Formats: sequence, C-alpha cells, structure tokens
Amino acid sequence: MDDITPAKPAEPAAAPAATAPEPAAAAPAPVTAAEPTPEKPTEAPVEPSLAAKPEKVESAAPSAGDAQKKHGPMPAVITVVILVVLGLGAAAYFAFLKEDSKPVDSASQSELTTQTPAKEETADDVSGTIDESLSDIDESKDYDASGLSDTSLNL
Amino acid sequence: MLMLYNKGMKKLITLCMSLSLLFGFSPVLVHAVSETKTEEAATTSVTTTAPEDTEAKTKARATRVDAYKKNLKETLTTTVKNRIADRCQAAQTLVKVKTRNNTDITEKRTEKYDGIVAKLESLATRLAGEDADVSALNANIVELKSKITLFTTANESYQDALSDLETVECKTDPTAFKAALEAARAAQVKVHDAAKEIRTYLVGTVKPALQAIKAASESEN
Repeated sequence: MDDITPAKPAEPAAAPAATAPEPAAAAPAPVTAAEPTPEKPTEAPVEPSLAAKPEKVESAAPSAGDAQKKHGPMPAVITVVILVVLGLGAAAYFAFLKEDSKPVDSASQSELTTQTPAKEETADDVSGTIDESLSDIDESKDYDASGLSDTSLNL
Repeated sequence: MLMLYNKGMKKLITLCMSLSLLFGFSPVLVHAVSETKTEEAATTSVTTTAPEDTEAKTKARATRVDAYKKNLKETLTTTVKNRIADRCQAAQTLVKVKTRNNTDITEKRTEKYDGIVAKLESLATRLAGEDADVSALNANIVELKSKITLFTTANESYQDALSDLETVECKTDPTAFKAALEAARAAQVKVHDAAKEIRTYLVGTVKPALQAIKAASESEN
C-alpha cells in the first residue's frame, strides 16, 4: 500500500514534463488523431516530422523499458546468488584457515605433555640418555680459549 | 502499475545487493579487521617496548663496559691503542661469528640438559609411585639443576661480553675493546668450567646413583 501512494503524484508530474518541450506539436497530435479520417491523407506528409518528435518516442520508450525491466531482475538475482556463494565460500575458507592454524600448536603441545609422563623411564634409559647427551656436547671445543686469542682475532 | 513494480523491484534489488555485499565481504572484513588488530597490537607492543628495551640495553651495555674498564689490570700504551684501533673492526667481524655460534651452542646444551633433567624427574616420579626411596635421586636432581643454573648465568655473562666486544666503539675507544675482550675471555673460562662441572657431576654422581637404583630394583625382583 505504501508503494501506491507515492506513485500517484509521479504520473501527472511526468506527463507535463514530457509534453512541455513541444506544446504546439503535442496539441495538434491528439487533434489529428481525433479529427475525421478524410483529413488523414492530407496530413500524412506532416507525420514524418511528428514522428521525430518526443511524443512518439515517449510511446515507444515505455515498451522498451518494460522489456528491460522485465528482464532486469534476472541478472540482479544471478549477481546476488553469485555474491552470496562467494561470500559463503570466503567465510568457509577463513573458518578453515583459523581452524588449521590454531589447534595444531595446542594439539602438538598437549600431545607432547601427555606423551612425556606416559613413557616410563628406567635407570638404564636415563643412563643412556646421559651418555648420548654428553657425547653430543664438547666443552673444550665449544668454549675453546684459543678462539678469543690475539692471534685468532688478528690483533 | 509499472512504476509500482519498478519501485518495488528497485527496493528489493537494492536490499538484495546490500545483503549480498554484506554477506560477501563480511568475512573478508572480519579477517582484515582481525589481522589489523593483531598487527596493531604487535606494533603497539613493539612501539611501547622497543624504545625502552634499546634504551635499557644501551644503558646496561655502557655500565658493563665501564665495569670491564675498571677491571682491566693493564694500562694500554699509545702503540697498543693504535694497533687495536687499526685492527679491531676486523676482529669484531670474527667476534660476531663467535657470538652467533655461542647462541647455537647454548640452545643445544640447554636442550640436552633439560632432556636429562626431564628423564631423571620422570624416573623419580615412577619410582616414588612404586614406593621406592627416591630421596637420593631427588637430591641429585636438585644439585644438577643448581649446576645448570650456574652454567646458564655464566653463559649469559659470556654472551653479554661477546655482544659488548662486538659492538663497542673500538676505533675511538680501544681501551673499552681491550677491556671487553678480557671480560669475554674470563667469562668463557667460567662457562667452560660450569659445563665441565655438570659433566663431572653427571658421570661421577648421577650415573652411579642410577646404577644403584637399577641394582636395587633387580635385587627386589
């Protein structure tokens, strides 16, 4: 109902606007249409000039507009559908991206923390770990005094 | 009627377009906003901490270099100063490599020490669960941890000394360079000794304790 009320004043406003530029031409046109038919052949040569006038363009324009507006919603609907699909896709992508990045760390950490106490160490295991660790590190090499000597630094 | 249809359709299409745009770009916007927020948080933390950090570091460095100078026992002659000023920048390049190497060494050592402590603690927990006497083992763990702490402290001093040696304005202040070099050498000896002490303790005390635990469990079985 709200759509009907604002539409009414628009129509009279549009009609004078369309006829306003050619009041002289617009006035005879309905007369020619309403006048008796015998005059029609005499006024026939005038018609091409009138045909160029906006009156006829006006009558042709709504039909073209109708056709356009009838087909208008379809591309818009398709665009809407495409955008919605893209939107949902983007939302899903970001959701998966977040899921991928976050839980990996926490999962691996929780795995590590749960694995460590789960394994039962024996005295032999620990002894073996000590041997292995000590064989991997060498103090005399890591903290070699000659590395900071005047000779090695070319001082 | 056509106008009504047009107006109604216009409204509908506008509504649909707005909704679709909202749907389509909202995740992107949310993502962008969240990214911006994290970046902002990072930059604010950087901007709030970085100047303080650098200022504090510069101050600490200056204090350390002063201390090195005070501890320097020899007074440098002009000839020695000139010699150092001429050659110190090349030496600083070598020290830079040494600093980086020590960072790697520290990381590796810390990992190894932590691994040993974790294994010992795991064993102690298991044995305690079996009602075995783990007081000696726990005492060993405490002692080992304190030795590792000593090593870490010594190593931090060594790393600081290397870093000071690497960054000191040696051309204008060769005495500071020489003092930092002496401090780095002294710190290196301390780290070496601390690391050696850990090894000695592990081999001479912890391993025999583990053998005793093994023997005790075997005799029980």
